[in-house]
Amino acid sequence: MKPMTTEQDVPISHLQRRKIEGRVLIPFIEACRERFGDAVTRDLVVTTIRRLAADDGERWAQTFGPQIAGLRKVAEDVWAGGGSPEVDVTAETTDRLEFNVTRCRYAEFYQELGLADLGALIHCSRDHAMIAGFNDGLELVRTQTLMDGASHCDFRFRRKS
Amino acid sequence: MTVSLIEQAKIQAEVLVPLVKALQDELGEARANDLVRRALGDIYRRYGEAFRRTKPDADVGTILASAFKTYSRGGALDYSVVEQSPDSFTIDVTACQYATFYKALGEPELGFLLVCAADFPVAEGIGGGIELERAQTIMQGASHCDFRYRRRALDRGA
Repeated sequence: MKPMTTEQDVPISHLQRRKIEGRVLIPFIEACRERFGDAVTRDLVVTTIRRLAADDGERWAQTFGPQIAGLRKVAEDVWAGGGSPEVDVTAETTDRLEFNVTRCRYAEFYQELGLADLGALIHCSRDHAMIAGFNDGLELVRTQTLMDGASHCDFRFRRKS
Repeated sequence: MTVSLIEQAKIQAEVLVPLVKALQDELGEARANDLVRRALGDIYRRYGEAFRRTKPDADVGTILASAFKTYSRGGALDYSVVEQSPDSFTIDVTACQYATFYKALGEPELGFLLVCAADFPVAEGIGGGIELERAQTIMQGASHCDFRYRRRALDRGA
C-alpha cells in the first residue's frame, strides 16, 4: 500500500500519530482478543504492524540515509522529536549505534491505560521490522524495555556479522 | 490547535485498513465486518457520550450543528443545512474528503465501514432520543449524503 499521509493542517509529531492510532487500534485489538484469543490476535496484529514498520524504515532511510548516522537521526529527531523518549547515546561508529532510552512517553501512554502488553505489541515490536526496512545489513538487539517495566531500553544496533 | 478529524482518520486508516483486510482474509468479509462494526461502535458511542457532556443542555439542532463543524475542520465536508430546529437537524453533504480519501485508495467499502458507519453509534452516544436516518452516502457513490437527525416523538418535551 502507498503511504496515505497527505498535507497536514498542523505538524503532527510521531508521538501524536501513535496516540491517534492507538485510540482505534486498542479497542480493535481488545475486541479481537475477546473473540479469537491472544495468540491469533497477536499474529494478525504483528504481521500488519511489521509491514507498516518496514515501510517506515524504508522511508526514513530515504530521508536520512540508510547508515548509522541516519539511524541516529531517526532516534533523536523522529522518535524523540516533540520531547518523547530521552535518548542517551553510549557508542556510535560506522558499524554500530548503542543508546539507552531512559524515558519514553509512548510507554507512559500505554502504561497509564494499563495496557503495557498491548504497547509492546503495537509499539516496541515495530523496531525490529523497521531496521529490516531501513537497512537490511543492520540488526537490532534489545534485551529490555521501559514498556516491560525495565529502568531503560537498551537499543544496540549493529552491522550483521 | 488540535489535529483535525480528517487528519486523524487518515492516520488511523494507515493501520486499520491493512488490519481489517487481514481480518477479512482470515474470517470472511461478513464476520470480519461485524467484528469491526462492534469494536468501533463502542468507541464511537463513547465519543458521542463525551461530546454530550461538553454540551449537556444543547438541543438536537444545536449539538449536531456543532458536531458537523468538528467533522468539517480542515475543509473535510461541504454541506447545506436543510432544516435545523430544537428537534431536528437535516443536512445534505455534497462533498466529502473522507470519501475522496477512501476512493483514492480504491477502498470505498472500507471507508463506509470505518467512517460512515460511525455516525449511528455517535448519535446513540449523544443520546436524548436522537435518531439518524440516512438513505445514501457519497462513499457509496451517491451525489450527496442525506443526514436526517430527529428526536423521537416519545422523547420530546422531556
